[in-house]
Amino acid sequence: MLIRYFLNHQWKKTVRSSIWQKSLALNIMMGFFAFILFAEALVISIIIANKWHEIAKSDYPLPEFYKVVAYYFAGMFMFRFFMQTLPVLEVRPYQHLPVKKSMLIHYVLGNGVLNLFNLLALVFFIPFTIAQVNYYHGAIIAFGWLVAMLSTELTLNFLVIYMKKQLVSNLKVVSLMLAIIAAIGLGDYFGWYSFSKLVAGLIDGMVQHPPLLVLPVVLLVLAYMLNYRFLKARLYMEEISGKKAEDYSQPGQVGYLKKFGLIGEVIGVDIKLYLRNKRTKSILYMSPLFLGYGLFFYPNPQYSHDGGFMIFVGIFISGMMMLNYLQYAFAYEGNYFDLLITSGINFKEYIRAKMFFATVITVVCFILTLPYGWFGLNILFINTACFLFNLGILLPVALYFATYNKKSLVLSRGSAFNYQGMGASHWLIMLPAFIVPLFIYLPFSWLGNPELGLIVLGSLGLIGLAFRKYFTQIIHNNLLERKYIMSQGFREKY
Amino acid sequence: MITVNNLSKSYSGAKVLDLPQLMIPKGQSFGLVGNNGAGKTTLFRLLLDLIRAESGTAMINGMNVAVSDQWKHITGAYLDQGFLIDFLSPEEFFEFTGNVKGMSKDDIQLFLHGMEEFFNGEVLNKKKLIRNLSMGNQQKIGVAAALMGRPELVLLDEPFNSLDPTTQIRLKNLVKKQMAEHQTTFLISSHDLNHVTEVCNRIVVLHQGRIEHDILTSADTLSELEAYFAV
Repeated sequence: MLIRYFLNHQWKKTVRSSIWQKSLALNIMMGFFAFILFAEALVISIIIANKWHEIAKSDYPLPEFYKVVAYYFAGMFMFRFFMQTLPVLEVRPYQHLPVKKSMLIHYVLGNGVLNLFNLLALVFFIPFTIAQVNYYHGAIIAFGWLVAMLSTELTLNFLVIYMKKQLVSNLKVVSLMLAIIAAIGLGDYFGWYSFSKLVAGLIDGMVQHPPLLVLPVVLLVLAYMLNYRFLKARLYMEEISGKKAEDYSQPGQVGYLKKFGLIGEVIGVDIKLYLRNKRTKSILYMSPLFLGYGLFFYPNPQYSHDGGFMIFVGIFISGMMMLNYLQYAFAYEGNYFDLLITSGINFKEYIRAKMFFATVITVVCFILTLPYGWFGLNILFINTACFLFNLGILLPVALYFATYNKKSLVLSRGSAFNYQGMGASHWLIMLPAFIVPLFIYLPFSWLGNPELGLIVLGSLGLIGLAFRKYFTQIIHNNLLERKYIMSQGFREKY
Repeated sequence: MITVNNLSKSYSGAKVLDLPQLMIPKGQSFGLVGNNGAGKTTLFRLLLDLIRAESGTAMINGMNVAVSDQWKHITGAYLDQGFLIDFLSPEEFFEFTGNVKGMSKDDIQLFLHGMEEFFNGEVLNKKKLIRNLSMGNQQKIGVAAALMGRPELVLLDEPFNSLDPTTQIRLKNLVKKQMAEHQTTFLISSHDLNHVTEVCNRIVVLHQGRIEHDILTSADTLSELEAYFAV
């Protein structure tokens, strides 16, 4: 009964939020692409499932496929971790109503099962179940196998949700889990054992002893319970005290900034904003990941000689923090945007402050990642060119587009249900930032002169720097033009 | 101080504000009353250039608010919690606002000292961030911040809301004192007819975006207003 209301409310919340209505065309386009991708995935999956015995060239080809399954699970886990939007339900309005707490939690968790990743699992597993497992083991075991695989997928689903929730509130648990995952991955990489063979062996064992197929289901129940108990404790705290008791501390006081007048004042508020709000803090926690991104690729010669890919990494390590900051430069301040635009702060100074701070962030990221030069001088050159491009071009462009980000964000609400704007679309907006530099670099690289490509990239950055005053003016005009719309959007608490 | 000409604003086709003409002279305390949806907050937002006027102009000291920026230096305002930076402590917020308004450190200390009675010991040195304070105390901070930097014009949207009785009385005294000492112009909206008639020397009744009554406060004003609203 109540579920109907919840679904209804959530639907209305989505449809009535300004961001949905204003970018309907974009949403339709994304929906269309998603549909095409799914259709293609389904066709490919059916073809492969029907021809697998030919591909694997074996009388009993299933174990070979289990290895693919192992990589599928591992890949999906990583992919989910970065892309998956977490189930959101504003439970506060329902908490004082006679609704069972457990029911709210079941709803939030159950709602999360309906996502694209889980749909993809159906596409991946069902054709193979019908065409192959059914052929070799009969319908009953095939069905059990399918249930086991889908349970594993859902277990991953809940594990990722749990990890992402912990990410905001408890860094230690996440670090531990990440360390375990890293250990598994490294062990495979250095050949201590084979991850794929291990998983394939486990799956094969279950198929040979069918009662064991229950195990993944048990795991799923455990993962669900883990989430359930975690959420139950959080709900309880909010219910009892309304607000979480906050230990009083005032981090982020940088007295030295006062010397810089208004610019220092604005930056001071920005620093406090970052250190005192849960949502922004979680981004800071992720910064080592951004900076350490290069470590995944530089040690591997296969990647580090592919210049195009290195450009991507270069833009990422010195630009990701800056992009994160600028993308929400105004949106994070949305809660008091009215104050900012009526207080007599000079907009130009304000924009200059934002740019200055973004510049500092970029420069610090660049300096921190200089040691990557140890992996080769060419990496140093690439990163320097990318750094200049970030500084000169991406920085003003990102700030320009920040004025289009006018959805009010909840920064300080308890973390358990607050993941606005942290899903796929957040990353999608960043794509052009990574594609454009590639497009500039690649033609030179293909023509056999990658050094020139780097020089062009870096020079563009320097030219951008020279024109910074001009960019400031453009952003300033744009802000003046859009301030009513922004102010309106921020006032709309979703 | 304020001159409004042909100012109007519609939302989805319906006129929410339509003011052919409105003049508020310097030093006047101007009270705005009207039922929900009468257009009080819309008028405030138009005066502060927070929304784009559909037609007409609003001027503060002869400066068109949509064109110039200078009026911001002589205007203080508190409409809603959108004027608070809730993750700062009250002290930090006052310091920020004071600096933006061009006050020195001593000015700010002096100002806060003068506000101690209004704060009633519940705002400063509480070791709490603004978001952890009660609604009433947040309201006090917003109102006080609007008075920083000795503005010539102060806009307050329902400032008496969620204040305790003592603070309501102190706020009235504060407004009167500001007017007497600095000839500050006040624009105050309220649902409490007692308060506005006491504080304001001119009262305008808005109804569906139009001015229904425009009266200079006298002994009979309260009963007049009560008669008007007792429908």
